[in-house]
Parts: sequence; structure tokens; C-alpha cells
Amino acid sequence: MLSFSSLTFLFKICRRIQFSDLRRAPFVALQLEKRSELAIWVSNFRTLSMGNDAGSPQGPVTCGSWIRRPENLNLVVLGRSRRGSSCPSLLEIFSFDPKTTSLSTSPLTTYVLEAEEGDPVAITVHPSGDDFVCALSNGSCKLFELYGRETNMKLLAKELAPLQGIGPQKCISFSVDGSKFAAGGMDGHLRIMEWPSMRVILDEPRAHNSVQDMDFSLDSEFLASTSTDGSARIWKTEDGVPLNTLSRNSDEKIELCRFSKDGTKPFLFCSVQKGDTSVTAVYDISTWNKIGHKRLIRKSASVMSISNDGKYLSLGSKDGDICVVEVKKMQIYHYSKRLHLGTNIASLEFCPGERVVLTTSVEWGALVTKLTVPKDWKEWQIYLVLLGLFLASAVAFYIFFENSDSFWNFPMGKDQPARPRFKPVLKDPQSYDDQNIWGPVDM
Amino acid sequence: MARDQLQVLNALDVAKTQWYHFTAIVIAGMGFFTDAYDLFCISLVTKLLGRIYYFEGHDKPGSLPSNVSAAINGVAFCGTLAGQLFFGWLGDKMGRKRVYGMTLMLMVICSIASGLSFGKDPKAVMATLCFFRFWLGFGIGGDYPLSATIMSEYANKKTRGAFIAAVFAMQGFGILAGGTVAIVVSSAFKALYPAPAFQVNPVLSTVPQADYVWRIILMFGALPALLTYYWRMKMPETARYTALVAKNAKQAAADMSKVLQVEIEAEQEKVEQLDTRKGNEFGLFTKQFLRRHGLHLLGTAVTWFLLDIAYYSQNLFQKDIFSTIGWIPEAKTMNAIEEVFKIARAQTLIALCSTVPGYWFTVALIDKMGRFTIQLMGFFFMTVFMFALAIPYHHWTMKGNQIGFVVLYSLTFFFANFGPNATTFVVPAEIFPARLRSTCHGISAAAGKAGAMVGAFGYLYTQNAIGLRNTLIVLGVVNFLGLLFTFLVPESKGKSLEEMSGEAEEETTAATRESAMEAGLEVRSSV
Repeated sequence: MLSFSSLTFLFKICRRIQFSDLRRAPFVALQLEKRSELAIWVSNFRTLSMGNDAGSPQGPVTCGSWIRRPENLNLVVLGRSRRGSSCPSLLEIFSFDPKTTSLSTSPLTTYVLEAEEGDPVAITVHPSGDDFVCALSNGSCKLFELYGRETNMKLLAKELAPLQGIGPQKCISFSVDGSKFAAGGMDGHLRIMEWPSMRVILDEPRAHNSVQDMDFSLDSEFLASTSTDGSARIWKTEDGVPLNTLSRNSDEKIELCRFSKDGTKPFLFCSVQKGDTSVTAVYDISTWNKIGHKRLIRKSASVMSISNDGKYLSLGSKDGDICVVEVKKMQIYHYSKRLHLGTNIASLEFCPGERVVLTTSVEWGALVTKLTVPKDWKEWQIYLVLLGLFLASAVAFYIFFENSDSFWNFPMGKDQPARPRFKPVLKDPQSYDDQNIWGPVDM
Repeated sequence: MARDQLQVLNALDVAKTQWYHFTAIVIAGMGFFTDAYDLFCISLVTKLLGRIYYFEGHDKPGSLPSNVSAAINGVAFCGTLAGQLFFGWLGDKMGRKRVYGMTLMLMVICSIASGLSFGKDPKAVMATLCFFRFWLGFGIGGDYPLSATIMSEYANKKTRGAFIAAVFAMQGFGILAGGTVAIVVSSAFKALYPAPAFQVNPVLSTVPQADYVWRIILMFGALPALLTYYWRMKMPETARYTALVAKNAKQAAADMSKVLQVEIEAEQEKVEQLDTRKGNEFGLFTKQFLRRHGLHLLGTAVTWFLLDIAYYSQNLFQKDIFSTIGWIPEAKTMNAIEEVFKIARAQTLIALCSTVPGYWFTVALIDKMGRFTIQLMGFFFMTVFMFALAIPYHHWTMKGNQIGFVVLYSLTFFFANFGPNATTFVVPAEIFPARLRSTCHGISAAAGKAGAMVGAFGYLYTQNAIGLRNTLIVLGVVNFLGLLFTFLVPESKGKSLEEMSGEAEEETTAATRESAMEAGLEVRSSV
């Protein structure tokens, strides 16, 4: 055991020396069992999330996703594949601390997958945050339900009959309103189902050569799917009818796709490989014509994501870079070079409530990164401005009140009948008609 | 068999959609309902305020001086203007959905606060009322465009026209609710606390409990605001591409193309498209906009301005008109609470018979008669009926002729709502280019708010200066001017937004080969 760990450590050291200049590349924290004193922590708010039990090393992280819980609580689910015979496949739930931008050091709950179930391949979380679906390498998909509060959380597994034995699924996805579920297989088989009734909307065995990526539109009306041969198709989710094929040049391969989540921008963003250059193309979803393209990430893109409010678009590359782009101006606001050094980024996802992204790779596990983007207005800041305006106008009204006897023009020294009196005494009224220069409204 | 089941499921989906959209109408319309209640319920209680706080003696009941009456009625509209600017800026900064809660909580708090006072001094009561009415208007100013946003987000493409009109008609129900609450509260207090008429006993005709009546009516405005808040929080976050619903997709695509590299094709069609795009890229302050849309913007802004002068002055001060002609009995023949009851009953009757039917006539006929015809007809009849009231004014004030006056006065409300009140809201959203549509609509709406302020503040001074008869003549002239400016606004019925704004015309003018090649060369060299 000890010699195995030493060999692993030495292998990684040698690999780093061979493939990167230590002075140029930022060090990435590497934490090994029984050698935690040698861990190197990196600034820029990066924190490792891989929990380590003594004597039982974990398998590599294959996929991850955020889970939005009530009361602005955000969790992270990670899928780990098996390693050897002593480390089974796992699903782990971690809590996220926005103050320190880090995941909890140990999982809130863990689910151990059976050996015949294989490894987790993809995870998609239902918008309600109560359950998620995991695609397994044995060709089935499993539903997991979250129970309990943060202190006593449990995972309950359920079989989904229509998704048993359908072959390995490259990507799975829920629609934005949570009413539909889609699965794209490595064999090119595309399925769209109603959720949770699992009624089949689309069951197309030859949708693609092999499904590469897919995404539901903001209004859950369209599903875009891409293929490994570079083609992309648009499907109507209401009845599963193929709507369109995206136009492209012969040297272009459409690899990734994400619909805009900003209601005022009806676009589809695609990562397109042109020769050895990767560009981001934008399609207008009212005409499905290409509007234009822009080169954002320097290497080939492996993953794409969009923030929940639709403000930012993010790309992860096959070299471990990530960049975050503001959608309105298509400008890069954040670029992390070699966040996962020399490794393909497997998943990339925006935190629902914070400007933080979760990234996973097989080599380096899961990282949460705080983005260097302009801060949003906080709710309390707006209330403060409003309160300031309120108090300022209160002061102005008070000054006016103190100096405005002539404006209100109250009759002087009269009894007001609406006010309760202990001993009402009827007095002879005195005439002040000539002082009432404005006169009554009645004529 | 499977096909039949699918048809049943489709029917269920359709029924589900209908129920869902009905719920959406109520949720979106609650904003307009709340706005109308809060803005107009003040007119029901100003007479009572005069009796309570401006008691003068045995000759006649107390009444608010002109400047105080104008301040109490109009201060909310100043707040509306300020709130619209502030929350409009805030909505651009952080997204409109995030400020829903703020405007509604502001409305709830200020509705309740406007029924409270700092101290018992009459001066303090009036100042406090004006202060919180300003901030209530501030919240309403923020809520009004947000209600319109919800409206556009939840309408689907098929039911958009009817949906928007139905939501807008909730304003009429807000006015009705204000009158109903005033009737119920004043009836209850009249039964609980009998009092003699003013001419019988000036002091006892205003019971001390009358102070609660106006406070309850104002504070009741918090209830629809709370309901609106509750329903909006419960609303599912069903997202829409609002650009598609509002037909702004072209504008969005044009904005996006400015920050991307656009591939230059050698094809003729692409070059023509580029030329088209270039030809339509004029800004608001350009000669091209002025030549093409300047008169349209002038027409929409001025008609909205003139309408709101007449509409708001008539709405806020109709009780004074009714008292002057004798339809509401003379103030000295009633006690304070009885006066509130009679005013509320009169105004509610007008709203029920004229304002609300006018809205629904517009809903039914706007796509058949067309916006231009409805607006023209509305202004025309408003002018005719206003002059019919003003010119033989002496005749209406005679005993037994008041009903005729009231009927004609009601018809001006009917044709205001089956007329410019609805069309001035719809037309600016249809006749301008997509790129400038929201700006032009905002300019027209701001002109409308300015008209409301003129109506609220100007009416009383005008009436005191030149009398009610001449004031009605002035309002008739205002309506006639609205009729004239309607001719500046084009008809948009049955036309697509692109045709209406002239974006389609550019394609034909760009057909010549030379201009296409020239544009292609320019674009190519710039790249």
C-alpha cells in the first residue's frame, strides 16, 4: 500500500516535469493520502474538494453537478468511478460554503454503486432540486432522490423502467421547467420523455452518428443535439418532430450547444471546430440562421455552460483552461489557464446563486472557482438606496411642514368636531371669511 | 386506440393551458388593479377630510382649499413619475424580476402608513398623508411597467392581443373596488353612528368616528397589493423568450451581430441583407428618424398627454362637478359620513355603467374597427359630449335636469375607454422600429404621466378662476386637440410590426445592383 502511493506520487511528479515548465504553469494543489503535509495550496480561491479517507483512496471524478436546495442552499453531487477492487463506484453529496468558496471536506452522504452497475457517466439534476438522474456505464439510468436536511441527508435509488438497458448515454438533461427529460446515447439514439410520467415523446434510434451534446431551450420548446460527425439538429419537444438542421460550412464541426437563458436574447450558442481552431457561433432561434462567430477559447472546447440568469457563457477546453464570457458583449471576463493542468475538463457548471463554477476532470477531480466578474447589486444595497431616498424625502417634507402654515391654510382657533372632547361646549362661531382667500371648492 | 388517447391528452393539455392562462391574467392584472385602486380612492375621501380638518363655522361645511386639495390628489402622480424612472433604471441594472417584491412591499407599507398620522394636529395629518401618498405613487410607478413585463412574458403568441387587453381592463375593476369599499365602510359607520345633517347641527354632523372612515378606505389598498405580492411569489418561473413574444428577435439578433464576426459571403442575397441592415440603423436623434417617425412620435405622445389631462381631471374631481350641478345633494343637507356614501355611490355607478363597459368594447372591437378609428371616434364623442355639457350649462343646473347631465358625463367616460385610453397604450408598442420601440413607448407614457399631473393640479385652479362651465369648455377643446393629433398616428391593424415600422420597405429600395455591390465592398474592406 505504501509503496503503491509512493509510486503514484513519483509518477505524477515525473509527468509534471516532462510536460510543463514549472516556472510558467501555476501549481495545482495535489493532496495524497498519508502525505497531506506535502500538499501545496494555490491562491486564486481554488480549493480541492476530494475527500480522503485514510487508507482507502477514492476513484477519479467522472461527473459533477450543482443541486439547488431551498433557502439558497447549494449542494454538489459528484460521481466517482471505481479503481481496482477496493474502491467501488460512488455518488457523493457535498455542501457548498459561499463564504469560503469551498466544498465540505467530507460528503453529507454517499451512495455505493454495485459492481455490475458500472461507473457514473453523466448526472443531470431536476430543477426542483429534489432528485437527479445518473447515467451508468452499464447502459442504464438510475433516479436518485434526496431526503432529509443537511445534517441527516440520504440518497434513495430508484429504477427507471424505460431507461434500463438502453446502452451508454453520453448526455442526459432535464428541461428548464422540469417537465421533460432527454437522453442522448453514444450509439446515436435520442429519447425525449415527459417527466415524471416517462411517456415517450421521441424515440429515434438514428438521430445521430453518436450524440455529443444537447440542451433544452429556455422555454422548453426546443431541444438541440449535436453529433460526433459535426452535425446539429433541432427538435420540437412538444411532439418530437425534427425541426431543422443547423447550417454549417464543410470544414466546420458543431460540437457543443447551449441555448441562451436570457429571455431578451433568443439565441443558440454552439462551439464549432474549424480545422484546428475552435470558435463560438451564435444562431438566431427564430430563423435558425447563423448570426456570427467569435474566437473565445484558445484550445479546443470540451464543455460549455451558461449561467442561470443567462448573463455569462463559459467554455472549458481540452487542455484544462476555462473562460467566462459576458453574453451581451461577448467579451471574456474571466480566464483561468490550465485550471485542470493538461487534462480534458469533463464537466463545467455555474452555481445557481453565486458567481462560482464547478469543474471536474478525471485527473484532478472537482474544483470550485470563484469568478472575477463584476459584482451584481445585492438586494440589501437596493433597499439601502431606497431607504436613503425615503429618509431624504422625509427630511424635505419635514422642513416644508415646519415652514408651511400658509399653505395648509387651517382655520385658527376653531374646535375640530372630529376630535373627542370630555366636555363639548358650543361656542359662538366667529367669522373669518375674508381670511380664506382661496375659497372653498363648492361654488 | 392509441391515437384516440393522444387526442384526449391533447384536449387536456389545451384545457390545462387555458386554466393556466386565466390564472396568469389574474396575476398580471392584479398589478393594474392595485394601481387603479390606490390612485383613485383618494378622490372619494377628500370631502370628508375637508369636513374634519377644515371646520369653519355654521355657514357651510368645511372643505379643502384648492392648493391642499390639489396637493393631496396630485402628489401621488409626482411619486409615480419618480418611481418609474428609479425602478426603470434599477430594472435595467439587475433584472426586472428581482424588483417585483420591492415595489409591492413599498405599496403595502405606504398604503397602511397613509392611513396613519404623526400626531393629532391637522397640519401633521395633512403633511403625513401627502408624504406617504408620494411614496405610494413611487411604488406604483415602479409596479406599472413590471406588470406590463409580466403581461408580455406570460402571453403566448396566439392569445397575445386579447390577453393584453384583458389585463389592462383590470384597471376598471380597481376603480370599481375603490367605490365598493367606500360604500361598504360609509354605510357601516352611518348605521353605527347616526348623526344629524349639517344644517341641523353643524358640530354634531361630523361624528368623531368619521376620522376612521377615510383611514380605513386608504389602508384597504394594502390588501390587493399583498395579494399581488403573494401570487407573484407563488408564480411558477415559467420562462419565455420575451424577445420572440414581443417580436423583438430581429433587434436582439442585430445587437448580437455587432459583437461577433459576421462571415461575409459572396452571395448576392447576403449582400442585400447587409445593405438592409445598414439602412435600418438610424438612431433616435437623427434626421432619418425625424423624417420617418417624428410625426408618429409627436402624435402618440401628444394624444396620450391630452387624454390624461381630461381623463384624470374628470376622474379625480367628478364629485365636485356632481355637487355643483346638484346631482349630489347640497353638502349642508347631509352629515359627513352620508356625504362619503353618496359620493362613492355616484362614482361607482359611473364606473360600472361607463368605464368598465368601455374597456370591454375595446377588447371586442379593436382588431375589427382598428386603432385609428377607435381613437378618432373616442376623441370625437368626448369632444361632442363635453361641449353638450358646457354650452347649455345653465339648463343642466335646473331642477330635474341633472340626470341628463350625468348621462352625458358618463358617455364621456365610456368613449374615453372605448377610445383613446386603450389605444394610446397599444399603438406606441406597434408603430415604431423594434430598436426604438421601448424608448418611444416610454416617451409617450411619460407624456401621459405629465398630462395626469396637469389634470390633477390644473383642474381646481381653472375652475376657481373661470368657473365650471368654462372649465368644461377647456376640457372639450383639449379633447378636440386630441382628435386633431390622432391624424398623425398611422393605422396598425392587421399589419406586421415590420411592415408598420417600415423595415420591409428598405429591402425593395436596396434591390439595385450597384448599391449592393458598393455595400459589399464597404463591408468587405472594413473586415
